[in-house]
Amino acid sequence: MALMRGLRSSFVLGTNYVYTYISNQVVPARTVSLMQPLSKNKEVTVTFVKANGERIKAKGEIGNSILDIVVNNDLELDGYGACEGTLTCSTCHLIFSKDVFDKLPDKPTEEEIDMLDLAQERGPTSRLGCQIIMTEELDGIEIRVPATINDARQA
Amino acid sequence: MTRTRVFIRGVNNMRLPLKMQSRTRSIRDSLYPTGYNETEDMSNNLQYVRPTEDIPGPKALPLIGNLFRFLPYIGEYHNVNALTFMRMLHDKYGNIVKFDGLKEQPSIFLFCPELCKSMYRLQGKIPMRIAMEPLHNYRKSRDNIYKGQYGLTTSQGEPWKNFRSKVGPHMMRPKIVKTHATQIYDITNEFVDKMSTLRDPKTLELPDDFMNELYKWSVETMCSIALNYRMGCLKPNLAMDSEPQIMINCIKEMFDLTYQIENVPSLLKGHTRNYEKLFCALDQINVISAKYIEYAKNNISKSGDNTNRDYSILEKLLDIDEQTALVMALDILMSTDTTSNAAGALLYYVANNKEKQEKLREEVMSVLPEKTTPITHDLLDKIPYVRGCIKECMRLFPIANGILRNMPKDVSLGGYLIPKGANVMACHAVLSMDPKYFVRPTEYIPERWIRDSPEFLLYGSTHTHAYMPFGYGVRACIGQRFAEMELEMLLMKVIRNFRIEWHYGPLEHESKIVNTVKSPLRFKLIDL
Repeated sequence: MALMRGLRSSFVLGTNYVYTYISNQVVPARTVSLMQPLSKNKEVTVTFVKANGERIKAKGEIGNSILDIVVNNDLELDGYGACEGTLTCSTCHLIFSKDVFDKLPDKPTEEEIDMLDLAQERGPTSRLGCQIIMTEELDGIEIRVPATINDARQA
Repeated sequence: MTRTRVFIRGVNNMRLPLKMQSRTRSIRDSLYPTGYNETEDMSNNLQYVRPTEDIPGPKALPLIGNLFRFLPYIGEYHNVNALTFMRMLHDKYGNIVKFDGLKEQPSIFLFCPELCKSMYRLQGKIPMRIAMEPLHNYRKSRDNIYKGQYGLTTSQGEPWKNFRSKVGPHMMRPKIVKTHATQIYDITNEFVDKMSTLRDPKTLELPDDFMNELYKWSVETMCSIALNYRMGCLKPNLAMDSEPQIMINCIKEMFDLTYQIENVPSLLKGHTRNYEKLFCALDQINVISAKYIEYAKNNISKSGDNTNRDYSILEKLLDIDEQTALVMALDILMSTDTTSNAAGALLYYVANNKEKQEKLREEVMSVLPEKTTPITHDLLDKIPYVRGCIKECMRLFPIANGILRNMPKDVSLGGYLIPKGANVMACHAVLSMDPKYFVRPTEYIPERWIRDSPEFLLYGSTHTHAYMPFGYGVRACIGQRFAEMELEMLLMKVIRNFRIEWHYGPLEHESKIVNTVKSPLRFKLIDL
C-alpha cells in the first residue's frame, strides 16, 4: 500500500512538474511568483491557538506560506495578513515555541524585522506568517496567534 | 487697584493655553501607560470621550474661519512652510491639535507616537487617504486614459483595494523587487561615471544644478524598471526641450501647483489659473509617458519569450490587466521626484560627516573590492551600515512630512472624539527629530539603526512608531523597496569611487507636499 502511494505520488509529481514548466513559459508573471512549484504538494497540518484558547487545525501543502494556509482555508482570523504578504504591515504576526522557532528554515530578513518591531505583543520567538514557508519538518506545529494582531479588526 | 486686577486677569488669560497644554499632556500620559502588560485597549471606547471641539488648536473665527492666520502681517502662519507650520502647532498646542478650515472636514495633527499607532490601527481594512484632489479631478476629466481606474494615489475604497492587490506583490515583495537589481545597477553605474565628468576640473565640485542630474537618474531608473526601456536621460547635455527634461520639469510643477491649490489657504477660492496650469503639466506628462509606454509595448512583442531576460513591471502587469498596467506605469513615472531628493540629502549627510563616511567606506570596500565589482542583489543583504545611513537620512530629511488618513467611522483618539472622515495626520517629520524619541536628534548617527551595535541601545528610537518615513500598513508607500534599493546602489557606488566633501552651510530645504532640497548640491568629489 505504502509502495503504491509512493508510486502514485511520483507520478503526480511528474505531471505537475511538466505543467509548471509549461505555464512558466506561457505566463511570464509566473516566473517571478512566490508560489513554490506545485511538485512539492505533500500535505502538512498547522494548529493555530488563538488568544482565547480556541484551537484551529488547518491543512496546507509544503511550499505554502502560513499566510497562504490561512487564506486558502478561509480561517476566522479577522484582519490577518492585511497587506497580502508584501511586508508593509504586521497583521500576520505569530508566536512560535522556542524549538519550532529555531527549526524555521529562513532567518528573518531586515524588512521582516522592521515590521515585527511594529507588532503588538512582540516576543523573542515572533515571526510574520507570510514569511514562513512550510517544510516537511514543520508538519504538525502549533502556533500562537497574538490577541492583538488586529490592526484592521476594530474598524 | 482695578487696573492691577484687570492686568492680573489678562496675564492669567494669557497663560490659559499653556495650562490647557499641560492638562492635555497629563490626560495623554495617564491614558497611555508605556508598559506592555496592558491587555485591554480602551483607546477606542467611545463612551467616555471628550467632544471634538475640546481638542486644542487655533480657534476659528465665525465666517472667515482660520484663514486670517495665513494672511500677510497679521497671520502667524503666513509664508510658513509645511514642516514649520506643524512644529508651531505642536509647540503651542501639544500632542493632538485640531485645525479647522484647511479642508471641509477638520484636520487633526498627531505629535505623539502612541497616538499615531492608534491611528494606524483605526485606519480600517481599506485605509482612506483623501489628498491630491486636484490630481484626482484631472484624472476624472481624462477618462479616455484612465477609464475609471485612478491609480493608487487618489482612489479610495474597493477600486483602490483591487488595484493595490494587483500591483502590490510586484512592487513590494522583496524577492520580486530584487529581480530588478541589475537594471538599477546598470543605470547607477553609468550615472556615477557621469558624475565624475560633471565636475569642475579645477575645484572638483559638482555644478549648481546637480539636483537636476539626480532627477534624470531617478527618471531613467524608474523608466527602466517600469517599462524596461531606456529613456536616455543620462546622455550628456540633455537639451532643455528634450522630452525627459520636460517631464522632469512638469513633475516638479505638478507638486508645486497641487500644493498651491490644495494646501495654501486663500481667500480667492477659484484657483482657475493654477488649475489650468496643472492640467497642462499633467497632460504633458501623460503624452510623454504614453509614448514611452507604447515603445515598451512594441519591444515586448518583439523580444518574445526568453526566460532569462528582465521583465518590466508593465509587462508583468499586462498579463493581469491592461488598464491597471497602464495606470501603474504612469504613476511610477510620476513618482520620481521623491527618490531624487532623498538621494540629494543622503549624499549631503554622508559628505558632511567624514567619520561616518569612512566607516561606511570600510563596509562598502568589504563587499566591493574593485571599483568594477557589480552590485548584485545578494550583496544588498550584507550592508547594514549602508542601510543605517539611508534610514538616518530619512529621519533628518523626511520626504513626506506625515501620513494622512481619513477615519472610516467615528473613533476615539487621545480621549477625544474624531468624527468620521476627519483628516488625521501623523506628523512623523516632527517626531523623528524630537529629543523625546531620539537622543541627540540633530546629529547624523547611522549606528542608531544597527541592531547589534552598542549605539543602538544608546541612540535608537525610544518608540517604535516615531519614525515612519514610508507609512505603515496596507496603504504604505508602494515605491518604498525600489526607492531604498536605488539609494543603496547610488550610495555604494559613490562611496566606492569618490571621497565626497561638502564645503558649504547646512542643507536648506523647501517643505510643501514633499520636502525638497533647495541648496545647490556642490559636492566635491575626489577620486579614490
